[in-house]
Amino acid sequence: MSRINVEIFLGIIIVLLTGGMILAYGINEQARMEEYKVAQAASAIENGAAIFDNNCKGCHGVQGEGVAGLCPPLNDRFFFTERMKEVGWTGTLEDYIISTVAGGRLVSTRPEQYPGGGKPAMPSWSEQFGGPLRNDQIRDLAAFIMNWESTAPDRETEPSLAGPPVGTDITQELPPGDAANGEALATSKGCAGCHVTTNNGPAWAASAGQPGIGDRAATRIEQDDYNGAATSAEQYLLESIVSTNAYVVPGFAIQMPANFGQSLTAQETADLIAYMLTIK
Amino acid sequence: MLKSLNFQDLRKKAGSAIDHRVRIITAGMGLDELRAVVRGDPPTEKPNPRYKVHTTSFLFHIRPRYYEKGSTILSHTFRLGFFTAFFFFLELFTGLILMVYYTPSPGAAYQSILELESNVFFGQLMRDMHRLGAEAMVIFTALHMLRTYLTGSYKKDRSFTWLTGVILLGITLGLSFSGYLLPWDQLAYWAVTIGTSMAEAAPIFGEQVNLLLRGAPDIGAGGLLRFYLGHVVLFPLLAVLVISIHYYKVSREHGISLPAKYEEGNVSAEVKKNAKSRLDFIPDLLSHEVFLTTLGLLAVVAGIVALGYSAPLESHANPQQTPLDTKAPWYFWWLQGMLKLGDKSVMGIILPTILVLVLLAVPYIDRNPHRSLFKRPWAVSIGILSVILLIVLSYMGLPTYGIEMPAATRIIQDVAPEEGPGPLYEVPFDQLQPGVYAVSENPPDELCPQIDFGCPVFTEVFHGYNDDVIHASTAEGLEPYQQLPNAEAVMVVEDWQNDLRKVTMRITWDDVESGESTTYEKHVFIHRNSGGE
Amino acid sequence: MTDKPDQLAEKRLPINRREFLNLAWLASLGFLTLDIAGVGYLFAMPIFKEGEFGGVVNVGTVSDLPPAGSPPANYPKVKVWLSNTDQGAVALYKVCTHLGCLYNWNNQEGKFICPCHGSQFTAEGEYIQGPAPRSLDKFAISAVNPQTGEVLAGPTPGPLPLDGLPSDALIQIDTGDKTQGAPKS
Repeated sequence: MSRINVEIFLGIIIVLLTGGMILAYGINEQARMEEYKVAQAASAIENGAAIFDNNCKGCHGVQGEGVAGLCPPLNDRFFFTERMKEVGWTGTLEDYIISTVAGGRLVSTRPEQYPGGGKPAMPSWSEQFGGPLRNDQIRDLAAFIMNWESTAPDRETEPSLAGPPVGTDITQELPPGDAANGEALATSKGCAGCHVTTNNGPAWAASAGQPGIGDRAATRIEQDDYNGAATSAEQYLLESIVSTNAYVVPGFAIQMPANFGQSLTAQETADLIAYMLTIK
Repeated sequence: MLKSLNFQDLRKKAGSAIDHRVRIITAGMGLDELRAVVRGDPPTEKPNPRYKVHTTSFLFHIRPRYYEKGSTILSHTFRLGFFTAFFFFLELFTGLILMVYYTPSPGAAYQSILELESNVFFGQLMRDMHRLGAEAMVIFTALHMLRTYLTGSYKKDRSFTWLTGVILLGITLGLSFSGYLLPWDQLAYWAVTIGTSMAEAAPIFGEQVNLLLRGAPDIGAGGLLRFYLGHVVLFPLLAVLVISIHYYKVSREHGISLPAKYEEGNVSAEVKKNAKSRLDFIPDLLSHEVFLTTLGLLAVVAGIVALGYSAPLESHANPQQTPLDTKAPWYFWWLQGMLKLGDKSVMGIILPTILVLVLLAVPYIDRNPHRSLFKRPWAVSIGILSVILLIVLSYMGLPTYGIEMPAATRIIQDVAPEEGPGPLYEVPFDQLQPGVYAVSENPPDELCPQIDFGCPVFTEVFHGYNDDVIHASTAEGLEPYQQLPNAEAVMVVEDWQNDLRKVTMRITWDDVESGESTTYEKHVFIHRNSGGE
Repeated sequence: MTDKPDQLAEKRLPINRREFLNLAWLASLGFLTLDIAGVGYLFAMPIFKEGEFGGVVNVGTVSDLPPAGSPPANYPKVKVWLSNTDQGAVALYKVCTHLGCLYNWNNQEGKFICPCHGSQFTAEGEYIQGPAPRSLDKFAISAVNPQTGEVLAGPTPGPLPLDGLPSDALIQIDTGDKTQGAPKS
């Protein structure tokens, strides 16, 4: 076959291949676009998580649990089921989040419970209103917060205590603690959000260069810079939970809720301390 | 009367009427001539009706009527000029298509690209084709220039054509660079910031040039719009103008050059005559060009559909944060390499300008009348040296060269880069088991013995991290910034939210100079569905 | 004119390889062109997201609807008048079928009156009088289960009967699916 005929023959194959590939790609297009949207939604949550970590956790808590007497919890069933009705918002919850984040809050809607940062209660975050965040960042942040919807626990409704609160006297005698129950409490009371492996509050787990909290508690009170009142490892741990301002570990700012003395019973506190002491 | 209606007669009359119409449309080729073209037969009439098309049709007029046989030898041109033009037209076409969905405003550009890729049929294919075509166009332009240089096809009559060619190289790079900014992601924003900052380094007029290019001291809405208009209006118009001049001279004035040996070599008169004999454009060369076009299209489509080429998209442009490992587009790595060598005015503006001027003047500097490779030792050596120099400078332009990133930063950036794909992002979500994983001399072979399927990918990524830290901690002969004496490191994985995990990497070491304990920590959030980036 | 009989005789030349290949090539190029044309068409056709005009819109639950016989509900963003008539709910396109103005509901007279040229329509969208050529256009309306998305009734342009539907069923209007009104008799 002459060169030109070979070329034409190859040309036919090439054209059919090209058309075939485009067709095959086209058949898959719908699925590809759906997958892309899913991946985009996931990226939005990732970006939102980073933004929340850099901007919001100081007032709203690392895991969105809120800070008592300061800012309301977002990772909370009340927020996802009742909040919009409470304020009379007629749009979607996502729009509510975006609107609040973008425009801020001049005055708190629940000033006795959550006064926020004073004047204004919550700053405006959108670039349009002088804040640091772009519109796409605020949307990503909303996606992150909305991702709590499926697992948000009941926080706002205070669970009734099983006994009298432990109070803030660190010299009191505590009943024997059950470390296994303490481990469960560490999750249900929200400690795990900052402490167990996270390094927002000092991490309880052993990590680079230092042992777990079980061993650290005893050595901590021997340190020169320790200015609290505890005289034993158990007292130190009790002090850390109920009297948060007594001593702050260097390198960490005060973000810990200050009212655990009112929201934990003596038994629950003892269980927690027993658990912490097992983390060496 | 009816009886005298001859059926044959009617057929004759109908046939000649159709033939007449066809001749009008094809400017002189009747049905039989068309069939002869398709059959590969010689022309059926004299004078050759196929030539007339070249006079009456605009599109055929700008093409040559015939080529000299020697100039069509594949190994002489490799059809590089043809493919450069092909890719230009591909870019025009795909570019016009993309304009349907793109918005050139900082608040909307990135979102319009996401919309294009997620909510438009074939949107991602069009974008990938446009990006791949652009890179191919730069490559082919450079190769075409190299070929023309080596075959000495810039001498004598062709000097001005070479000049327009260098201008086209500049326009091609301008098109590529201006288009680079449009997605408005971190990759685009910072690459173009670096590039236009060089304009600021221009002597005397630097600041004015910078303001003209960007519309503001830094790149914002004004810059994006100016770059968009440059990319979509100014450069394409210039390109069409200069391509027309360039191609007109090739097609009408001096033709494609013959290989040098036919002009100056020791070949017999008969071979020379054969090389100069004419090859009509219609039908064989036209057929050949259609073939090459389809081949080019197949290459682009296959590159995307079969080989997985994909136009990158990093996160939204953030003018307040430059990501680590920011780099220029690959065709400017040589420039980035030069910038690492010295003063930015000299390296960024003056030397490149001199380079361009030298390129433009090559036909006028080169006094050697010969075209054959063997008779131009200086020209060929300088050419080869320049290519080598370009490659070396390009290597120096890479972000890993010449930038002393502290070891801890480098190690963590390698595992989980700020932008783009990375080993940690490739780990299947279920293998990212929550826990604290400490770096040690002998890390476990399986990080997740508690689950049946184990976590092999995660283990491998951790081992990479582990080995890097140990290497920086113990290896001999490292630079101070590469050392991590007494290093201790962890990788911590935590469940953070539904289908979201947080991975923290923390390295503690003794500072080389002061001996103080220093810590570097970075965390990333990884969602189950977010793919590899 | 050249010799016709010779040309006719020439036409009988059998098809040679080159000709066959060229014709096959042209056919395959034609296929590729159609392919690319299809790509271009699909690319250029806009895809509407939920909630946008042109896509599917949720207008609330069955209990949110105005009671049967009361004035219709207005959804300006998606250009819909939602009428709850005796036969059921109907989603009327707000654009008058005459020349494109948005018509209004006149409560006193109990009908739609267009301010531009005076066309009048009943609450169900039937033509009463005026220069409009036909009754009002309707969008496909359906009721879905809000949790599962399962379609409980419809989609239909005609009135959607509401009896038997749970009060929390979501009413959806597909503004991409429009049925023209019946021509005036």
